[in-house]
Amino acid sequence: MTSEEIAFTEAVALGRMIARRKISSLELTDLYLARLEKYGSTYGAVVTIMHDRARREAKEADTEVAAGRARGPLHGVPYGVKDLLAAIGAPTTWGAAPYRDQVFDYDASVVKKLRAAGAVLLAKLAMVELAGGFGYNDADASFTGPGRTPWNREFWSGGSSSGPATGVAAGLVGFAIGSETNGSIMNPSGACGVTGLRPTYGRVSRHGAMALMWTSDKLGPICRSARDAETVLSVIAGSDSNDATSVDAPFLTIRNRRPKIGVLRHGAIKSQPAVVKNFEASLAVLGEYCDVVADVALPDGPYGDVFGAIFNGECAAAFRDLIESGRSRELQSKDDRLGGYQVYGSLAVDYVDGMRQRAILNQRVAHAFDPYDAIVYPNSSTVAVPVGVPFDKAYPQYPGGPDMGSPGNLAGLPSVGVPNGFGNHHLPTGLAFMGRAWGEFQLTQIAKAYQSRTSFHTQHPTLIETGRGS
Amino acid sequence: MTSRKRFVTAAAASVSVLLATPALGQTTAAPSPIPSPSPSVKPVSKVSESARALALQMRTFDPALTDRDIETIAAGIDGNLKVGKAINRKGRALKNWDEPVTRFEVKR
Repeated sequence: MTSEEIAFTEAVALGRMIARRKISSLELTDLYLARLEKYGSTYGAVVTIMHDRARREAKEADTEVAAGRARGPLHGVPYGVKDLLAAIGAPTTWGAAPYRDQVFDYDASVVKKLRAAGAVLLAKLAMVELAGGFGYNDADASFTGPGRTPWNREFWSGGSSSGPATGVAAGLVGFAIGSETNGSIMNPSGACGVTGLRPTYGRVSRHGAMALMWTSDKLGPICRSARDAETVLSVIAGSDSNDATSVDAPFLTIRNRRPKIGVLRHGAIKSQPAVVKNFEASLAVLGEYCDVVADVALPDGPYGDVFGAIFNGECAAAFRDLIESGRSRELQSKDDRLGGYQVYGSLAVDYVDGMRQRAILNQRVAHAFDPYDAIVYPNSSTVAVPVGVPFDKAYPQYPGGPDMGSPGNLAGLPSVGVPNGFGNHHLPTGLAFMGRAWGEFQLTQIAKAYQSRTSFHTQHPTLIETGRGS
Repeated sequence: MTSRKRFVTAAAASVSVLLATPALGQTTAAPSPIPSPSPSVKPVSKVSESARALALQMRTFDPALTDRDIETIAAGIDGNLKVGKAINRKGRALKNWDEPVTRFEVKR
């Protein structure tokens, strides 16, 4: 295998190569460190490369392999984390200038779990400032600059887990950890053509992660395949005494039957033609091994408004100190500089009413979707947005079908996004599956079978190098 | 006096005006972490006086906010109020006994 081929290999395959001593963890780590240095800034993917820690952990992993003590499928595999996760040895900037010197003297729980599994932390990866909490409307919303999809750097990587998605798509890391409050794993996974998994709320401890909306924040894997995502999730899942919302819940699976999939009613309307075409082709593939039920309706909302009311209250509280300090003016996005004051001006009664409506809406969603192992719809109605163009000006003619982010995240339901083809400018399009609570592995079962029948997840972009700051 | 206390004192009057104002100006969507085609913050020509009054109090935190900034913030505050109206239309969508989720968790 060439070094290029190794860089784009699935994480579980890399783990096997290390276990069989076909490559050492240190060799692999040095390969990725070099690629992070070479391409990281070109694609706005990196905040801090952790050379010393990575090489130290890799050497330890190799020592254990030599002694016959591999810890599991991710032993020795290098990875990166969104820069909202605390890690010893690097600042934790939350993507925002006011926090660029923030340092924690402990590792986030997911970092500890991955360390215990033998994985090697390479880098803190770029993100939209404050995970997009203050309402950005263009790609230039991080103190490290716009994230750029490796498929064409003139287009946005998606966000807010921009660096994790870019890093995986560009072969700069073996896998990555992102976060989602409402769309921040699914969106960049689609724009970068990689596999993202948003776990059920409570599946993964958030200890050591930036809080944006306590009742919706989730951490999850961004990978090159559904198989990788399943493996990484199995390592980072589970209860943690430092996060009272985290639990040990069994993973639901599909056994001895065909998966039952509901196709979201109007899911592909008002979408770019390539998105529609690729979605229809995906449904044909799913039909080979699933019972596919057409025209499953999302119950009436108002999901977006309810999400917004709850979000405003929690976001304003989470960043009260920043807002009251006046340091919002240091944020990169002009919208973010004012957005904090807007959420600060929300009413407590609207927050409480939002939480009252949430209980009602979640029941409606569970009732409507519970008969299905997954609801399927296009991950996005368009390909990636051009850098430099406000989001609302990029593709106004393609607003897409029902917003599935708000109902899914209000209910804390899991979701998986996989690449399903290419559209305008040869940018990736994506397919999204949303499942039952605790049904992540049902989704990965379906996604793995899809990926065994297609090759979109194995394709990777040709990278260019422009040098730092360009 | 801390900036927070100054804000609360100064804003109290504006908030009472805000709550008593029935008419809402044209609004924008509330800021959201969702990267979406819908604009999150954009200046609009008409905002409510009550929202503008509350927005002006944000100069307590950042005296450098321009008049245009204040208008943009006020539009966002109006948007928040519109969201509040939408989730409990005419005060009838929720009944007295509809309890809030006080600790959110996903049932197993």
